[in-house]
Amino acid sequence: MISKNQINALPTHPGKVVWAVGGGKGGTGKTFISGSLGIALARLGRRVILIDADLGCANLHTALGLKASPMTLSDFLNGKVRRIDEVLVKTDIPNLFIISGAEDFLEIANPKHSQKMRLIRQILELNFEIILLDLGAGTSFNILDFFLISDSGILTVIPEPTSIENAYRFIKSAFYRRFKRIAREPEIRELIALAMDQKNERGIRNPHDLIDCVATLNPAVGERLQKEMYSFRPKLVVNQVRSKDDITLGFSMRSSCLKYFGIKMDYAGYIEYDDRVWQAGKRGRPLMIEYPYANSARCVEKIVDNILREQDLRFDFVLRP
Amino acid sequence: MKPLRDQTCYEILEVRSDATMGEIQRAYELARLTYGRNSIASYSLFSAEELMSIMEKIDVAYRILIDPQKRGEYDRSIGIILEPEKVRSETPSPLRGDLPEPFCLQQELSGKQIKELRESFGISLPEISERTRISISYLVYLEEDNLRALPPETYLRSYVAQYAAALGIEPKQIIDRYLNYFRRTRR
Repeated sequence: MISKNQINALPTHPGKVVWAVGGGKGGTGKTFISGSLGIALARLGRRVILIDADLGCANLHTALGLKASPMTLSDFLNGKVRRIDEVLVKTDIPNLFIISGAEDFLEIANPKHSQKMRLIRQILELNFEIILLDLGAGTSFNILDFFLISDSGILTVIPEPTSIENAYRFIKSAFYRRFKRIAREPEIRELIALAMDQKNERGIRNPHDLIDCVATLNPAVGERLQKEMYSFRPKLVVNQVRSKDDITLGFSMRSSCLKYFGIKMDYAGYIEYDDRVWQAGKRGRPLMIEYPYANSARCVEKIVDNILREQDLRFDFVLRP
Repeated sequence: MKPLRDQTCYEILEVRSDATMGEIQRAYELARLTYGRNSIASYSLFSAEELMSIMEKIDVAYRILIDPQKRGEYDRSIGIILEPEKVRSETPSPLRGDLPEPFCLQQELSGKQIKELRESFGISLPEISERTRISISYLVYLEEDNLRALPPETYLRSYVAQYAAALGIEPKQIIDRYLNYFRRTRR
């Protein structure tokens, strides 16, 4: 696990931001969205590096219409090359660079702690304006750690119950991982582990209960957790929307997160369901290049705009006229 | 963020303390959808009992905030003081009816002034478009007084009537004033 001190010791560069795209469930469009955001940002003149951090299941290069790179993240993780910039590849799109993911070794999907730290340190040292991480599915510690080092953690969901459940589970896991990182005391760490189980015997139902519980044991730690909770501000993207109800879902999720976790989640935007995404994909071409004027591509641009301006969608339409 | 039991009506409905009636209404409709039955956004976080308790709190908060008198009393009880003009300007209940001051004192009403009126009610243009089924671009022409782009008077009259109804104002009060303006400036 990465400690706060380790993170603080990492070099930071002014004007450089890390975006990470995650969200629990597979098939919600993480890779499509990462690639599209990367292209949209590069078009705005930002120097962007896209990193396929889906260790073990990498295919970001395919989503960008590129052939597999001769050098990938596995060469770096294996120690074949010392510096991460040696596996970096320039794409045809001006300002856009890519580091292809490791797709060969099973053990790469579960790197050792030291490997992961080396990876994270070197990622943060990369000399780009925007570092965009495409994360894998699930809520494993590796994925959560990448999500937690980002400045903008983007959660992608599709309007389906399973996807929404997983997104909440992702937020919860990210939370508790963050909590554990700042709580050193064994009895409190135990309590956090216990709280992860929804049916725990202490009756801890949500992060509020957990913080209350911790605060009775140790008020100082309770306060630290509370502070930590408020600083966590993920962004939501609803993909494959087909109706106004699907768009509204993002607002409902934002509200539910506020009521349950007590956190403000920004609704960065939605992407319309569009056959052209599938058509472009089948041709092995990115949507943003193949159909730059498609509604779905416009939706991506709107999301980029919202995230760059730190805005979120306003709920200003009538549900039942 | 305080736990729900300690939250104010505004926090429960997730609106600002200076929210307009329109904003409160919209927030309530969203909340009903979010915490109501068959909502896929909330069932995995809350139990059925928790959802019912949230919904009850939302209902109570809504009933207080949507009623200007109760809201005023509530504001005083929690120490929110709004300037009197501000409170008066937000009167958009479906029962409104009469054109408020200063608009009712004028013989003419331009598109820009109708826009001012709409904004004072806290109603967005997309909302008007939704209610009237008039395309946003026409509504924008109307509000910007882009007279050349507007349809002939017969149609325009009907548009303005629907717009007025969507604002909850007795249509004639706006149509007459608007057409006075339209006929004079079009020449």
